[in-house]
Amino acid sequence: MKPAAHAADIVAAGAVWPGPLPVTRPAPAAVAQELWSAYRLDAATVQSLSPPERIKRMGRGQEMAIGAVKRAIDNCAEPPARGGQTAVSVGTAWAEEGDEIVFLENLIKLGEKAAKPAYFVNSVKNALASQLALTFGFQGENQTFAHDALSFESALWQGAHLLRASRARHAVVCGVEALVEFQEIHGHLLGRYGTDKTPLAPLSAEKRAAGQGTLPGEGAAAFVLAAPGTMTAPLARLVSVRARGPLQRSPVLAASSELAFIEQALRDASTRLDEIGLVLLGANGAPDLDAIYAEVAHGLAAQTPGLAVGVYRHLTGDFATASALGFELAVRTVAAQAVPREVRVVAGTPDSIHHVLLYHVTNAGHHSAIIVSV
Amino acid sequence: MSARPRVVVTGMGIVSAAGWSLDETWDAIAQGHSGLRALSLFESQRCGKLPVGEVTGDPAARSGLSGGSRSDHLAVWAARQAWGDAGLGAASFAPDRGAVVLGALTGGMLFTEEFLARLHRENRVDASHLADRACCNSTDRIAEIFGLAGFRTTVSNACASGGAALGLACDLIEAGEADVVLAGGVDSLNRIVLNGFNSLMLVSPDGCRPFDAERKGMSVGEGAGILVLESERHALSRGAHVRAWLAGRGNTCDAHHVSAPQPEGRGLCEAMQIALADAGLAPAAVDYINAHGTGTADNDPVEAKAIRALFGGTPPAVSSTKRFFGHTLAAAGAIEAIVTVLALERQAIPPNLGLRTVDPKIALAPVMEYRQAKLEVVMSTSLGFGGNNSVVLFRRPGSWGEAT
Repeated sequence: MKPAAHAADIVAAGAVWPGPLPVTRPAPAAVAQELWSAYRLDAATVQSLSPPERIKRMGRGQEMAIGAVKRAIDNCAEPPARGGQTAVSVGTAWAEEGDEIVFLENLIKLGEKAAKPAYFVNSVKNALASQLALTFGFQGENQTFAHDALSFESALWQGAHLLRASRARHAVVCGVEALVEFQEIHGHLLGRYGTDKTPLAPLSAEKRAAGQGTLPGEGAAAFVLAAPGTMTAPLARLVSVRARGPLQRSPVLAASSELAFIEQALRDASTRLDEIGLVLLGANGAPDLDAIYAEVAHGLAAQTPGLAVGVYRHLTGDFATASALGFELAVRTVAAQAVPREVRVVAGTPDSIHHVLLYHVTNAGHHSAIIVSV
Repeated sequence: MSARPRVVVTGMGIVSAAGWSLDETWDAIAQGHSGLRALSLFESQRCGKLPVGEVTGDPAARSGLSGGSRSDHLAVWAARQAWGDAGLGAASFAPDRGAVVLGALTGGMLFTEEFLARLHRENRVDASHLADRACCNSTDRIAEIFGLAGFRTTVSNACASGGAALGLACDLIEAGEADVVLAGGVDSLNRIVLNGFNSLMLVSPDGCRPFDAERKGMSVGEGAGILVLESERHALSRGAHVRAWLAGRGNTCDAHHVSAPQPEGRGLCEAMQIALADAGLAPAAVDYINAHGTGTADNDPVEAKAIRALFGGTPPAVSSTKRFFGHTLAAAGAIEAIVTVLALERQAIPPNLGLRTVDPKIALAPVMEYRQAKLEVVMSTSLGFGGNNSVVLFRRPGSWGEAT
């Protein structure tokens, strides 16, 4: 079978991971009298990620994005150039919502005279992408995608497209989310998050039986992409990105339609399931979603006995662009021809890993399938 | 290698302070009626008397949408118009070949504001509407209503979002990802935007007057603009009426400042050059530019410099239409693209309402009165925070060869 055409060469990757264990804090008194856990970066780590002279004007998401891009660039044999030939494509569902909330709370508590311009400017969702442009001097197309769990996937598609259309020499693609208390409040009020103090255990039958929800998280990952075939030794190749949303609100998820979605993604990429060395699932430890992921994994394994399946959200917690961190693991897997030890393999034994399939689905029905190859 | 498919406009829908439809909007433009008026949507100590481009009437009733935010209602209403205008039906294309790309910034921000006000003033929580606060909700609602099962995303490039969304829609069609794309932008008024721009001292106390010597800033507005874009071949195969060819687009980033444009307008000039190259046209081909023209001290001279740098001493006709509906943020690029296409169709140039005396620092002569003109190629520009520049260029039907 001829090798599938690929969308882009992945030149380098860098990531900023939350701490390895969930951190516990008291819930806001007005909302709950309990302890809440989350995967988060401590403040000192976040501040160490960006140049000291700029920190005061930046929000957490900006610092995390800069940290991830810097790490990716540091890993580049041929770093992306300053100027118009380097595009920036960022996926972030909530960007600097923390600064947005501070701005609004000042209005509410202190009156409109307390409106602070810096918080307003940072509240605009492309503050992250424009800060990357400013910090690194990238003047190519600069796009921000804010579409829940399709945000990073949109950025990845657009970055690869710009390269194929010769509208950039490099595309810096980043997925980032900074956790803020307001999001924790929202998630707990919706019953999305549990109060478990122990790490998430995606696809664990025991945890699922206990009915715990997932835990919130944060992080950033960045990738330097080049046009397909332009790099002699890329880290990995992006074969395809397929991301779709539902046609009804609050859809009832079904493993059968998720399997059909994955099969279509494989067909589009001219890739067979038996070519996939590892399926990396975005299972986040929430019982309802884990049940779907488990059925999907079972369905795929039924078609390809011995198929290796892994999970990673015990490293990240739950956030809209966590798939960027999953993508970093997928890239590392094909680059090293070995599954990173922090990935939990829940089925099969990965050996020759030519392709990795990264699959996500959310309660809102947004789902994505990304295929990476050597 | 096959030629790049042409992307054509086959439907449009609009809502803003200037009207609820294409005809109402154009009537306001032709008659010189500004939609700016005092804010009534919510109370504001400091911004309540500032003229804003507030949509009057009941967006929820128009949209027919159960629940959702004001932005969702505006977007869905504009999408319903565009869908009908394009003569689309469920059988017009395979569901997976239909896409949605919307520019949006603030989504259901009013819900966030109400939640926080209750939390801090009454010490109680009510999360019933928080799920509708995301700016991508409007995109999802449109996809659900019209059965668009293909690619969908929400572009959030500040005030250049609407123009960038149109560009991305072209990308999807050219890459073979979609046959039909509903693309545009939406934003609604809320406290953070009004107070935010006011805290930057960018809001005019008496309504925006773009390019005027005595301009005092912008006027914040709200609205939605949705265009139906499809490959020309697809449009012709279903007998659609082609309104215009989206012949070129250009996006750049100044990488100069988080909120201010590069003072010489280099990024915007380059975006216009890219759009022209994309369309295979020389600057002299452009007959009219619908300028971003916010009326702020910084924006207007920068835009004028960029236009002069590219077009030299004989720039095309230029006007800003912001005083008709205010600065509608993520919707601006889409609403103004629609106005630009209407200008092309009606062979008339919208006036730069509010302009009395051109700022001597601005080496342009914006069109002050509505007038008929022969237009073949027209352009719309958008600038946003973060130095984002987005340009779209349209050509009149009949001005090109066979379908590609």
